[in-house]
Amino acid sequence: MRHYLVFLKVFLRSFFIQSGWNYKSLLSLGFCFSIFPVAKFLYKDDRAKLTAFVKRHLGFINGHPFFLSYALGATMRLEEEINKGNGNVDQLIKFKEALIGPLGALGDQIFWVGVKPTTFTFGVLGYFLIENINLRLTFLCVLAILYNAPHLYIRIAGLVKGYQEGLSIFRFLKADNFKFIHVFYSILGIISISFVTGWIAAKYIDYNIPAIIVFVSSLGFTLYMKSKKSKTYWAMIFPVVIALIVGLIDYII
Amino acid sequence: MEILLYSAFFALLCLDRKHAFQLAISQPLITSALIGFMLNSFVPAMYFGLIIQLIWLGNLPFGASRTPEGNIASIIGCWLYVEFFNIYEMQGQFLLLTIFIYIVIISFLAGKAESYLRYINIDLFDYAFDSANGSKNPNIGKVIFAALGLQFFANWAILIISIKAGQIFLGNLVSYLTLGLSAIWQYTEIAIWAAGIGSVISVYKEIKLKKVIALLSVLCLITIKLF
Repeated sequence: MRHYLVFLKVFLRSFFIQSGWNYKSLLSLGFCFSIFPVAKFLYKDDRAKLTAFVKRHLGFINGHPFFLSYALGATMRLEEEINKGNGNVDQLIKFKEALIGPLGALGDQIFWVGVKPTTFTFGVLGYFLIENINLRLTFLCVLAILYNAPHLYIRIAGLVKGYQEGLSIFRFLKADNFKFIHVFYSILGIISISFVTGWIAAKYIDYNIPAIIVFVSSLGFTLYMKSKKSKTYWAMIFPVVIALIVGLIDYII
Repeated sequence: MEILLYSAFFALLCLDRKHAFQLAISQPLITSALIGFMLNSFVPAMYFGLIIQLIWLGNLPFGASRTPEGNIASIIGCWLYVEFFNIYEMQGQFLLLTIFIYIVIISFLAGKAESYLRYINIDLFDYAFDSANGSKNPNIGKVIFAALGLQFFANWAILIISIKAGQIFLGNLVSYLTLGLSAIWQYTEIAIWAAGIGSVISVYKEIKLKKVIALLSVLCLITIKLF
């Protein structure tokens, strides 16, 4: 199926993979929507096969939205095999289910823990260093590239590699193969958050004891609450409460 | 009329967070610059976007977990901050405090709304599945754009209602304030920064990395103080 238009359509549709997110089948609507051009390409004149194609891809699937491109690419390959009579539908369904774990774990670790926090912490650092408004606006373009370069790379490479490897894509989906992204963004992230912390401490706190108390206790409390995963909202509100209490004491004294 | 158009624009932009494209253009640093451009008030808009950006980064959308809707809440907060800061500049810290608490509540409610839409999407899924059995060709595209449309209208409603409610709430509150009380909320900004930094550091699970961050932060502090 060296049909570049089908690849392009699947690629463009994959940007909507999370659009139909629901608690019954999670990402299956988006997955089916993304892969639908393949159905039209293979089974344009066979309505029964086209319907069967749609039904099997409305089955439960989940994973990181960018990394699901690997599943899309591999599924394209397997559907082509099925069309030629070499593939097996049950095997394809089991294969998709088995991909859920690796795709979710890899994507979450690389993007939600790595690329996203790093990019926007670096953005905050950049705002500190750049005071000119026009330069700050230009810097936003740098941030967009910093985030979307690995994003688009994974979407495109996932489709191509998935299609090339088919069932063997499992062997490729290891953290080591994405180390170059992970290491770069981890280092940049650690440097950025360290500089932001040092900068804030130097700029706002100085030798003001109440400010130091607010900063240290808020930071410590947020870290503690974040470790208790269900306390997300308290981790945001409680530092402000601490600031108000310290401010009130300062006001009274 | 202006608010209807701008809210529609940002409602569309907020689809970028989860539902379409995911190019990160709905992050506070970017939307605050857009609000600054729209309201012709760059400095307070970018200041608010900057201070609020880190807060949401520690909320990781793993699997089917529901996280605070920080991006849409930040737009609401930034809009209100710019609008009121231009009138009550001297009450900047108080505005920051009330708007911050307000947007945390909005982020929770918007998260709930999204969760509710995920249940509605089950009906859309069932419709898609049933349509595959019907006489016509299955049209998954219609279902996807219906889901997107619902999310867009939900975003739009949240934006309009929250901005309007915030304007009434803050308008009443600020008029009762005296500058003499400003010492009470003078540390708000530091607390929000600390919460944001804590939120980002919480992403790094290894103790070793946290130690490296602590060490580098102290080095940075010393370097800035010395030079």
